[in-house]
Amino acid sequence: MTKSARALPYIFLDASRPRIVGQVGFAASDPNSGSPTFRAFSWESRQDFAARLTVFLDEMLVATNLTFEHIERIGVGIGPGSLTGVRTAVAFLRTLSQVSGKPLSGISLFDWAIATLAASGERGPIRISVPALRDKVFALDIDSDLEATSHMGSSVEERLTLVARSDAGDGRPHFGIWYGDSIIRTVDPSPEALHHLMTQHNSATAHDDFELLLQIAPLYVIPPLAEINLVKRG
Amino acid sequence: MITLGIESSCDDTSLALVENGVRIRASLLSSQIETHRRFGGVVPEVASRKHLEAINPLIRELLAAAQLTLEEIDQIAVTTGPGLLGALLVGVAAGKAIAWALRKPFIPIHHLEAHLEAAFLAAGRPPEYPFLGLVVSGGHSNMLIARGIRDYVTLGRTADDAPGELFDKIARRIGLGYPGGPAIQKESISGNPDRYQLPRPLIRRGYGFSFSGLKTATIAVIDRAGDSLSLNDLCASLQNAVAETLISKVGAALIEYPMSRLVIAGGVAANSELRAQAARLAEARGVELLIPPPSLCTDNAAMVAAHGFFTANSWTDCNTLTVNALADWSMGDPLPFWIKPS
Amino acid sequence: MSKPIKNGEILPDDGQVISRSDKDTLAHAARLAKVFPQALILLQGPFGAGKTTWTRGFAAGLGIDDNVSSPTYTILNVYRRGDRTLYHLDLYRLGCLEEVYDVGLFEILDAGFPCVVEWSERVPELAGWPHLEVILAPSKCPSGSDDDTNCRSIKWTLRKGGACP
Repeated sequence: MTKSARALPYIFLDASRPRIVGQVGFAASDPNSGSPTFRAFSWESRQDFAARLTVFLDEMLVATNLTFEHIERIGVGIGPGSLTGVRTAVAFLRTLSQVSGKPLSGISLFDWAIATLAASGERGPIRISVPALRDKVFALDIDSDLEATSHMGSSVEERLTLVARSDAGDGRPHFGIWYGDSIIRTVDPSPEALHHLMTQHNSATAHDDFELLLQIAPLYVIPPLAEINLVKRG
Repeated sequence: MITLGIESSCDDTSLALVENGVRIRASLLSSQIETHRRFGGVVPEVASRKHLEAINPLIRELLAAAQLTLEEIDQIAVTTGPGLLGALLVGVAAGKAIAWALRKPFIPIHHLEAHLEAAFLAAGRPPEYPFLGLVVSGGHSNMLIARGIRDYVTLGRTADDAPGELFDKIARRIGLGYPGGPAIQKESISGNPDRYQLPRPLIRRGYGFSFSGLKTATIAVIDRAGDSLSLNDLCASLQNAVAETLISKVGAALIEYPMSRLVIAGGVAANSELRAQAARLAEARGVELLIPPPSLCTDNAAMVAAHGFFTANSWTDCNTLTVNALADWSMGDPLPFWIKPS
Repeated sequence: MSKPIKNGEILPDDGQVISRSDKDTLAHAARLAKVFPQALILLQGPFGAGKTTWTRGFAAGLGIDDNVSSPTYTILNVYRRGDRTLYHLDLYRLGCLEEVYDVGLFEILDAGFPCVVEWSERVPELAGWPHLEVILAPSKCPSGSDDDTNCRSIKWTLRKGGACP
C-alpha cells in the first residue's frame, strides 16, 4: 500500500482470544492501483501478549509503510473474551489515544459480528450469542435492521441475557460468534466488517471528550471459558 | 531529567514524576482522586478493573499537578512485578504506550527494590551500596543484602503470612478496622507489651520468617481471655512480638554480614514500635539506619520513578519495550523479554 | 513425568483423615496433588487451620518446592518449577464472581493449570464448577498421640459441579 490517495488511516488490535487480530486500513482506496484498502494481521499469543504490544504495532506499521504519525484513528477490541488480554489492550491503546490525541474506537465482538452478518445480506431479526458457562449462552436479540444496529460499544452489556444454549427463543436465526452447533450457526467476524466499522464516521470516539474515552472499557461478560476438565490421574 | 513512575502491583494505582531521582515533582494515588465510575452496580474494591479506571485520569491529573507536559518526560519507570498479574499489566501497558508514543526509554522496576529506594529518596540522596535491607508489608517480608544496582542476595522470606497480613487478620478478629497495622498501633499506645505471652517465631533459625504460629497463638490468647481481654495490652504485646522477631533477625544478619548501612522499608516499616527497636539496634551496632517516613512506606510511584532514574543505565542493552509483567518476580531474577523466534 | 503410583497410594474421590502434624498434612496434600494435578481446589477452614501448610504440600506433590505463602494480601500467588505451575487464590478480600473473573481465575483454569482457592465460601457460585472440595478443621487427636494440640481433620470430596451460576 502506498501513502498517496488514502484517507483516515487506522490501526486496530484485538486480544480477546489467544489469536490476536490486528488491522491497518484506509477510508478511501486508491482508484488507480486497485490495491486493498486494509490489511489484516494475526498472531498466536497466550502468555506473551503484553510483552509484544509494541512489536505488534511496529510490525503492522512497517508492513503498511506507515509510521504512527500517519495514523488518525485507533481501534481496540473490547471483548467479550480473555479479560486479561482485553484489559491489557485497552490500557495500552487508551493511553496511546490519550497521549497522542488520536481518537479511539472500542469495538465489541457483537458489533463486529453484526456488521459481518449485515455485510453478508442478513437482515434480522436475529439472535447472536457467545458461549457462557455450563451449556448457557449470553444472547443479544436484535429486532431491527442489522445495518442500523452497529456500534453499541459497551452498552451491549446491559442488553445481554443469559439463556440455555438449547433455547430456540422465538425461532429467529441464532448466530454464535466463533462457535456453533447443529442449531446455532457460526459467524466469524470478518476483516471487511471491521474495516467498515473503523472507517464509519459514527464509530469514532472524540478524544477531546475525556469521559467518552474512559467509557471505552472491557466488556464484563463472564466468558466462554472454564469448562474445566478435571482430570483424575491414576 | 524527569522520570515518570507507574505502580499498579496491588490495591492502589499510583503515578509520580521525580526529577533527577531525588526530587518529587508530583505523586498521586488512585485513592486520592475520585475515580471515574460508570457502573451503577458494585464496583469491585480489589480488582484490576479499578486500576484500568484510574490510570488515564491519573496521567492527566499528575501532569497538571506537576505543571509539566508529556514532552518533558524523559523516561518511564514501571513496576513489572511481583504482584497481581492483571493489575501489573495495566501499569505496564499504559507505560509502554507512553514510552512508545514519545520514543522514550521504558524501565522495568521490581516492586521491593523500589520500596528500598524510598528510604534514600526520603533522604534526598542517591542509593549507596552495599546495605542490609528488610522489606516488610502486607504481602512481603524479605531480608536481603543489596550489593549494587539490581544486584541482590535474598537471605530469607516469610514461609507463610507476612507481618502486615498478621496485623490485618488480628485486627479483624478483635473488631478493629482495615488496614490492621495503623489500628493496632493506635490501640497499643497505652498498652503493656509484656501483659500477654506471645511466641517469637523461628527466632533462632536462619533468616526466614513465619508468622502463622504467632497468629494462632494470638488467637488462642484472645479466646482464652474472653471478656477480660485488654485490647491495648494485646495490641502492644503483638506489636512487640512482631518487632522483636524482625529486629532480632536483622541483628543476627548484621553479625554474619557486617555492613555499615541498614534499610527498612515497606508498609509495616511505618510501625512506630518497629522503628523504635530498629533505631535502638542501629545505635547499638553503630550502623546508619534509613527508614522512609510513613508516607513513603506504603505503595507509591515516587519510589518507582526514583529507582528508575538510578537503574536506567543498567538496561541499555535490552529492548525493554518487549518485557512482560511477572507476578512472581524474585529479586535478582531475570525478567522475561520477548524475542522474535528465528 | 509423574512417578508411578504405588499400591495403596491412590486416594478415592472422597474421604476423611486426621492429620497429627504439619508433616502429615503436607504428605496427605502431596498425595492428593498426584491424583488431581489439574483441579480447581476449594480449600476451606478457619484461621490457623493450616491452609497455607496444606497448599505447600499440594505444591510439593506437583513437584513445586517454591516458597508458598499466604495470598490474603497479594490475592493471587503463582508458584512455578520448570513447566509445572500452581496458582493460589485467596478470596478473603474479594466478594463476588465478577472479581474472581477480574483476577483471571477462569483463564487460569482454561489454560489447564491447577488453582487452590481459599475462602471460596465468599463466592458461592464457584461451587457450581467441577472442583475438589477440601475442608480443614482443628480436631481432637486420636488417643495415643504425643501432642494433642496440633491435630486437624482433612476432608476431601470431588464435586462435579452442575449448579448453574
